[in-house]
Parts: sequence; structure tokens; C-alpha cells
Amino acid sequence: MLTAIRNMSKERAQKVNLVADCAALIFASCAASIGGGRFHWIVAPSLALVSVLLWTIQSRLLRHYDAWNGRNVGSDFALTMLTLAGMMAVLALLRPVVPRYAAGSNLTTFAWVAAPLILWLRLTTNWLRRREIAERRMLVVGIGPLGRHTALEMLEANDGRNVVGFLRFTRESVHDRLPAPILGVATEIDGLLKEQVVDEVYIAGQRDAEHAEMQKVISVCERFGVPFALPAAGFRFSRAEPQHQAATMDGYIHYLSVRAKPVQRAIKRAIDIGVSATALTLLSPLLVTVAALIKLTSRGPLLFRQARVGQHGHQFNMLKFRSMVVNAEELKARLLAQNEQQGPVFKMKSDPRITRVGRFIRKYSIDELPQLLNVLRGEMSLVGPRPPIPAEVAKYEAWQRRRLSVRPGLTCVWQVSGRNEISFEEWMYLDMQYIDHWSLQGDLQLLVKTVPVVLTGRGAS
Amino acid sequence: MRKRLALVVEDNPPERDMVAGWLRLEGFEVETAVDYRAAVAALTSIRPDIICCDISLPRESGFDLVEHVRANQATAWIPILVMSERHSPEDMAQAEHVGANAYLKKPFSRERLEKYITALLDGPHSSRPSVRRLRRM
Repeated sequence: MLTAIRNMSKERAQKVNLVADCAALIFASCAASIGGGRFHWIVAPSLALVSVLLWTIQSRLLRHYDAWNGRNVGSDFALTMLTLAGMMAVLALLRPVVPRYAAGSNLTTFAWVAAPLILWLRLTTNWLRRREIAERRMLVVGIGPLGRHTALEMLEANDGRNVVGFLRFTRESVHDRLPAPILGVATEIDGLLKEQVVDEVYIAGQRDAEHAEMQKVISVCERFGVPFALPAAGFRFSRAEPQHQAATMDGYIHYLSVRAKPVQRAIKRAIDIGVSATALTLLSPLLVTVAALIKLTSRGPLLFRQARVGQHGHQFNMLKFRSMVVNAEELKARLLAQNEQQGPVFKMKSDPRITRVGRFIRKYSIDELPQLLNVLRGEMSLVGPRPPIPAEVAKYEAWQRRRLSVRPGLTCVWQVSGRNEISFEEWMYLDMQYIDHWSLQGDLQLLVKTVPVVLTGRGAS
Repeated sequence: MRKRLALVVEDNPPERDMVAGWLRLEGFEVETAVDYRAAVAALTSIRPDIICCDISLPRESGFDLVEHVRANQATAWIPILVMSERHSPEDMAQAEHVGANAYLKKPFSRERLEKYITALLDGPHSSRPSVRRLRRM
């Protein structure tokens, strides 16, 4: 029975979740329509319609039902609660607006029925979700028995870890069939890390036999800021167990090139969610006005989605309010003759591609506000190195790739410093300093410093 | 046809009886041994078609038994299935290094044991089947 359910929803956990959530909302609507001893026939469908609509819009924005959103359970749970709170707030605001449809509805009942159901559904479908699309990309160095078993164990665990491939140590030759392709030799790992998205490198070698090559792999991982894992023992045990089992859960010791600080990171994420949700709520009148202005004054979509490179090289769509005309890229070719800056960067003082509304929202960084959604979704953070575009990452030197070892952010050291007059090299250096000396306190200070920079419209270009 | 013979080396009586029982149901004749020394003694008089052995044994370990079997020309060909509650890839690689043919993580079901045994004895390369093929089943 259990396997039947698992198979049925193997790649559909979120669809099951969505349908069940909508059913829960409809059920809650019916429950909320019983008042004064009778069932209000007009309230139930209207409440159901509005709540399902609100729920799906919010869920779409927060990518609630995406195959894999990379969020952990706690973060996901918090977001579900926020979505519920948001929906309840809008429902409460609507009450006086449409009294005919709302009279007789009982929002308290609605909340008490809907909230536990939806949160419970989220938790129960979570274990299904975890078995879905493998998105954490692992690289295994070593194709001997250890490498092979490591990869097979990962794939068998079915917890979202996928093996992108193997690198072999130079002395190793291929004997067995492996569950993933061999992508090259261990010493060429830097080339591979530049091309592929890798979340962690498992170095499955024997310390004595492959010492030099393992050292090289470790050094490259450190320089690139890619997490790696080393075999915990390297010896044969018939009985003994590590005293602290959690440290070597999968037989490996895991290393990070950023300071771990797990508690502070968790608080940072909680602040990200809290602040961005609050900001989106408080700024919603402004956001709606700007959205309306953009739509009214120029033809085209409201948001501009740009592919950016996130943590560990995973790409995501960064959201901005559109501030340029739709065919900006075509126009750019024609305007190149008037470029005011040397090199590959295109910059003009009065760029004719920017719309009138665009000029205003750029000056006060309002065009960046939709990125609060990226923060809520977990793709970005409030504070962190600005996410680069893929073309820029392709040109990075090894040490600069370490910028990708943390979640990118809305603001960072560079944004609150002098802004434009810093060289690229210096900018990268500042970001690296931020990563190496990261602390929660520092983040909060940067946030506070960002506010006046944005409000005065200083240097934003 | 001669009944095939299996040697089960396991120090925990309930587990030993369970594995032996399952193998008998599979049509095996089963000899049991409680530890390394009993197994080594048994191997002087019997030639099993397969050895199923635990790793954590009271005196010498299961690894020692695998090494002993492989070092001895008369027994070196016998397929060995290691059964262990240790689940890390390193343990599996170590078992393979000493010469075990397959690694079965405890606890396991009867079906899983059957699959491993079938693959070890009746597979296309019945002498030393690839562990990967076993695990994918």
C-alpha cells in the first residue's frame, strides 16, 4: 500500500500536495459558512474561490509546489505559515469590501480548519518530496571499490543527492561498471569545477596510495569554495564505532570552506524570511502602484527575469521590475556607437532604452524590490555577494569562484561602500573578505547601512 | 542432483538460525559456525558452495575469515557473502579489498538474501559477480 502511494506520486508529490491543499481550503470554506445554525450557500463557494485563488498565486510566487526548491523542512514550514497568514490577512481585508458575500462567513473557523490541515499536508508530503528529482550534484573522485560504493550508497539513499560523475586517480583503471560517467582525471578537477555545477566532492581515495592527488583535489576544492568529504577512517573495522556517530553519518567527514556557524546561519535564514515577508507586506501599496505605472506607461511584461548564478553555481531567475523597453537588447546594438565606457561594459548617461518610470524606480532601487521574493524562495538572502550573470562566472578566476560558496544577496559590502568607483578586482576582494569573516552581527550592520544608501538614491546605477 | 551446501558463520543464534532456515527453504544444505575458529575447522572437512559470514565475530573477525578462505588454494574459489550491520561505503570497500564478493547490509529480508545468493551462484559470472550488479537488483 505504502509503496503504491509512493510510486503513484513519485514525481507528483507537489501535485498531490496542491490538490489536497485546495481540497482543504474548500473544506475549510464550507466549515466557515456554517453560522447561526444554517449553511450560507452564497458564502461557501465565494470564500472557496477567493481562498484557492489567493493560495495558488502566493504559492506560485514562493514556488511552493516546485519539484525541488532546495529549502529545508524548517524554512519550508515557516513559509507555509507565512503564506497562510498572508491569505488570512487578505481575506480579512476583503470582508468589508464585499459584505454581501462575506456576511455569515467565520474567518476564525476558516483559519482553525485550514491551517492545521495545510501544515499537516505539507509535512506528510515532505518525505515524498525529498525522494524526488535529485538536485544536489555530487562528484566522486576515485573509481575503486570505495568510490563505487560511495556513489551507489548515495543513489540508494534517494535523498536528493545525485552523482554527476567520477574522476579517476591516475593509477586507477576501469574495472567495474559505474553508476555514472567518468569525467576525467583527478588532477583536472579545476577544469571540471569551472564547467559543472557541483555541490560537494567526495574524495574516495586511499591516503597512502593517492596522497598527492588527494591533496591537490582538496586544495582546488578549498580555492573554489566547494564543500568536500574525506573518508572518515581509511582503515578496516570489524566492531568499533565512532563515539559521535553523527559526525560520520555516511562514512565521510564533511568539510566546508566557509565558516559553518550553523546556529547563526539558521538565524540568518529566519531573519531573511521574516524581514522580506514584512517588507513585502509593508511596501505592497508602493509595489502595486509601481506595477500599475509600469503596465500603464509601457508595453510589455511587469517583471524582468534575468538568469543569475546562485549558491554553488545553481542558476535561478532574479526578479526586477522592468525599467527598459521590451526590445532593449536590439536597441543596444544600435547604440553601441555611443558607448561612454571602455571595454565590454555598456554604459550611457541618458540611455534612451530606459522608460520614464524606469528612471525613477532605478534611482531609488525600487526595481530591485521584487528580489524580496527571491529571498523568500530561498534563492537569495538579504545580505550576500550580488549574484553574477553566467557570462561573468565563465570569466572568473579560481579564487573568485568562491563567491558562489554562499547564498547571494540583495546588498553587500560593495553596495554600501563607494559603489561605482571600485574596480572589479577590488570588488571581488571585498566580497571574499565578507565571506571569510562572516558574522550575523556584520550582516545586520550592513543591512542598516544599506537603508540610507537606497533612500538617498546615492550611486545606484 | 547434489544439494548445494552453504556455510553460515554468525555468532548471534537467532540470526544464525534465521539465515540457515531461509537457505534451507531455498534448497540448501546448511552448515553453521559460531565464529572464525569453528568456520576454519569446518572448512577442513567440508567444501561449501557459498559462505555467508558476519563481520563482528567474538574472537577473530569476519575479515580474517575472508582472508583465510582466499589465502587457501583449496577454498579460494568459494563465493563469500558478507553480512554486516555496518553501512558505510568504507566498510564495503574494505570487504571487497579482502576478497568478499557481496555485501549485505543487516537487517535484510529473505527476498534480498535470495537475490544475492542467486546472483552469486547462478549469475552469468557465477565465480565473482560484480557487486554493482547485485546491488541494482
